[in-house]
Formats: sequence, structure tokens, C-alpha cells
Amino acid sequence: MQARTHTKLECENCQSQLKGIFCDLNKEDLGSVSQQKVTNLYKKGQTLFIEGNHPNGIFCVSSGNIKLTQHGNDGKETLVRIVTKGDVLGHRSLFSDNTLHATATALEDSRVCFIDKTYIMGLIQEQPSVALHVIEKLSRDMGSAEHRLTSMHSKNVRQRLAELLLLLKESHGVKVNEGVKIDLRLTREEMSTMIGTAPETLIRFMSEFKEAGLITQEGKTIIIKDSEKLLSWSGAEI
Amino acid sequence: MQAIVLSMMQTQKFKSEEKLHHKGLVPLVAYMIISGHLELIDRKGQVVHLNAGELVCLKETWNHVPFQYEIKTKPGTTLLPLDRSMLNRLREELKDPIA
Repeated sequence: MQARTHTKLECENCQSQLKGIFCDLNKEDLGSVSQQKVTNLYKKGQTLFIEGNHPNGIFCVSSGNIKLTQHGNDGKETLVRIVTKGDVLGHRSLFSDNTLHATATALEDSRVCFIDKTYIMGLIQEQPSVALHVIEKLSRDMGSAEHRLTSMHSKNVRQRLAELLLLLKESHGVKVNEGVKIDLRLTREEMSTMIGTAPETLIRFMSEFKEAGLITQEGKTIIIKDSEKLLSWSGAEI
Repeated sequence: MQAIVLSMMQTQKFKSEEKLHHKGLVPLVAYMIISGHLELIDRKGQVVHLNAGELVCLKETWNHVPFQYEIKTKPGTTLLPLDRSMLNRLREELKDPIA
């Protein structure tokens, strides 16, 4: 039973390797990363790190989904981002020498590797490709954050919900007979914080989307039936 | 040895009670308690208190094995994390493995 939670995962065999920051490393260097890292299987609901703490290294998601949340002064939790296999966590705080800006919690059983700060800093100095991939990730994160900020200001809730569903389809979509299933079980509260609205408003718009035949829903599982219509509802310029 | 530790790591102060480690996982770093307390909770819910000057998770971090306790910080606790890179460096310097 214990062995399942901490089986050492070789980077070379990791299903997320091609998407990760170590994808350009040779076999020898990947072996060195494998030796250095700590691999754990986090159960659903377990936290990887807590907002406000100091980062001790970076986390590399091998499988599963992790949610990043921030707590406001009113105690409300805001879902900042969902990360999946191949994504890296904790890098921004690590390189800016700040405390962690969010809490990371496993949305489902997730296998995650941890590489300590000292090692990753050394690797970045020795391997420019790792640094380039980190820059690429940071740039993409920044692009998404800017896009989200613009979206919050310029789009209405209906458009933001349509946009969110399309983004989730892109990141977690699985083709099924009826359309594309979003392979992620989010609560109404989590989804509503992602588009900056109240859960009641989200429910109202979800009903509208269902009535219009854009989506179907079974419990927390959402299936996208009409992506093109969803795209036009999102207000995206085609 | 002191120089290596101080040059590579910095202390971390915890303002509130927080779960540092989930039981059964391999610890990401070991901790030396500089001030304050830690609570170790086993599978039966029994609590062991650790105080300033004590180390936790050193053997498990060094050997990459799970630590079978949940660890909670008490408010105001200051810890010095000891990561695998630092432990490897110490191992090289001392050339006399702990485990």
C-alpha cells in the first residue's frame, strides 16, 4: 500500500516529459533529475503547498489535476488556475524569491515530483534549455493572466463562461460519442470563481447553455456538444 | 558544515498552524526546529511534540522513504529546511553516510 504512494518515477518514462521543462535534456541529465527528485502520489484533497509559505523547490505534475487557490481577506477561496500533467508549480515564487502566492491542492489522486531549489537553480545555470522552457512557461502564464484580466473587464458573464468551457475543453477535453467531455470535476463554487461571478449566476447561465444545446451535464461532468456556437457565444474574434 | 547549511538554506517562520506533511508521503525536505514546536500525529491520532533543536524527516529525506506521521506547525514556529541537495553536499563533505 505504501509503495503506491512513493514509487520513484523515472523522468525518462514520465508521460508528461514531452510537455515539461526537462524535455530537451539528454538521458544522463534526466537520470540525474530522477535521482534528485522526490515523487509522491497525493490523494484527492491533499495540499502540496500553502499560500504564504516559502518555496523549497518546484513541483512537476506527472499525472492528475491540481488546483491553485487564493484566499481573500473575506476568507473566500478563488480558483486561480488548474494545472495538469507536464505543468510546473511553484516556479514563479521560487525565481522571484517571494512567498508562495497560492495553495495547491490535488483535485484527484495526482502523481507529482518535487525538485529542490538548490538543484533546480544549478540545473538552470548548467542547462540553458531548462531556463528557456521555464521562461516559456512564465511567458505563457503571464499571457493567460493578462488575457483573463482583459476578459474580466471587457466580457460579460455569458461570454466568460463560454470562454472558460472552451479553455477546459482544450486542456481537459476527451472525445466521447456525444461531443467532448471535460475530464475534470469542478464544483459550482470553483467554476464561478474562475469567471468572477456568484454560483447562482453561473447556474443560471449553465441552464441557458444547456437549453441552447451547447452543453449537457451529468452531475459535475460537462459535455460540450457545440464548440462552434460556444466560440461565437464567447465573443472571440474569429 | 555550518557554513554549508547557512549558505544554502534560510529559515522559515510559520505564523499559523499548518499541515507541513501528510503521513505516508516522502518528505520534500527535512526540518530543524529553530524555535517553537511541531506536532507529529500518527495513524492512531497520537501526538508527539518536538521542540527547538530537534530534527524531523532527516532519515526519510536522505533515504527517500515515506514518513509515517502527519506534521503540524504551531503558530510562531521557525524552521530551517534541509533539502536533498544540501544533504547530498553534506554527505560528500563528510563522506560518512548517516543511514
